[in-house]
Amino acid sequence: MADATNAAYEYWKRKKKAAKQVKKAARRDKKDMGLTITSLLDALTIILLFLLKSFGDNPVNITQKKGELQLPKSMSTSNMADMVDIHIGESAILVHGKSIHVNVKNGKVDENVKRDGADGFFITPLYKALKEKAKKLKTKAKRAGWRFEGNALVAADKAIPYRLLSEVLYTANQAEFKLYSFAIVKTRE
Amino acid sequence: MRKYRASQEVGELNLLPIMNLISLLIPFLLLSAQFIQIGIILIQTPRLKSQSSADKKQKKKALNLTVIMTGKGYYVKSRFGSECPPGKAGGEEKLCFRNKEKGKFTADTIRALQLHLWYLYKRKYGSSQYYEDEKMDHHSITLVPQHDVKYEAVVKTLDALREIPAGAKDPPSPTNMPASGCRMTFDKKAHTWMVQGAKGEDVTERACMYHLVTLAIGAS
Repeated sequence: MADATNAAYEYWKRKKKAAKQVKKAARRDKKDMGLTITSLLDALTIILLFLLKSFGDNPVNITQKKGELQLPKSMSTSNMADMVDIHIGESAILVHGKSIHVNVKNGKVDENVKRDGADGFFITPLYKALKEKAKKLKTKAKRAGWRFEGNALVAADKAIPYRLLSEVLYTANQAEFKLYSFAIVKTRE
Repeated sequence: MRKYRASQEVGELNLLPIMNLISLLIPFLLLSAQFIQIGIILIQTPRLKSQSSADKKQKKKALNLTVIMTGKGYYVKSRFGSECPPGKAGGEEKLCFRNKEKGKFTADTIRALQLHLWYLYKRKYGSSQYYEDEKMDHHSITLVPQHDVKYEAVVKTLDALREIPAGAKDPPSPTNMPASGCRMTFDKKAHTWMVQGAKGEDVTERACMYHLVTLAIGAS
């Protein structure tokens, strides 16, 4: 009877030890099983670099918005260069992203901001803003040793009438900007 | 006496802060990134051309090819008068290419204008006798849109003036036209625009027709 009890006790002791070992091994394995994020980090770094590159591609940032500014499509493959940009939206005209307090309604500029009234082409606030830009660029050109050619980028909404564009170009021309780049969305159709 | 250096365990690099930073940067860049490619069309205005007396003299001899754009269609003229295709004299209405619907410039009308301009450029006025400065004048044209014409139609017309039409038969278009088309590049050193191919070669004769477009502005 005593032998049987001893054997049972030994068996129970062995089983307990084995269970302890299994638990210990499991604990050890759990400690080694850390999340491997190196490959994920590599992928994220590549995406980040790609996005940073595409972000820095265009020297001038043009944000299109339905009902405000939608550029026309063109087959042109020429790329933008860094220059003064004039935005002609459906509701306002901006110079270098800043408002010049010229509102547009139904493709027409408010006659109060025009020097010669409703039939005139000269938009006074636009002229003042561009003249200031031209002055700064001329000084910059003199220092850098190149000739000021009066390059301006015009990003206009595709639905505006030519009259409005003509008014803006006429005013820019008076402010010594004579070479224009029209911003377009590239397409091959 | 032997010295035993205490074993130093190299700790793992904690990548979590970098991961957090990158995870924050990616949505921000995705929002601000432009997946639509934006390009430009180069335009000059009339004042730029007639500055010196030499320019004025040149203007008298120039061909002065002009495309007038009204809601009804296109009219083409030069210093010799109407330049409409044979059989389309322009008439009193002065229209060479008529829109089927007023104010709507269809692809067919624009293509017809482009093919005719290509004919004028290559065949009718292809020789240097019409130009004072062949390199400049041969590529020059003036576009005069009426005030009610939509800007989108003006851009489409500018494309038709600039690019040599692919698949033209009379005269045939060049076979080695670059896929990049008539491309203008900005030379940062000279601070001026130049006509160049994607690899920097001159593509004037292979891809560009009238790339020096003068846009009429103001009350003109």
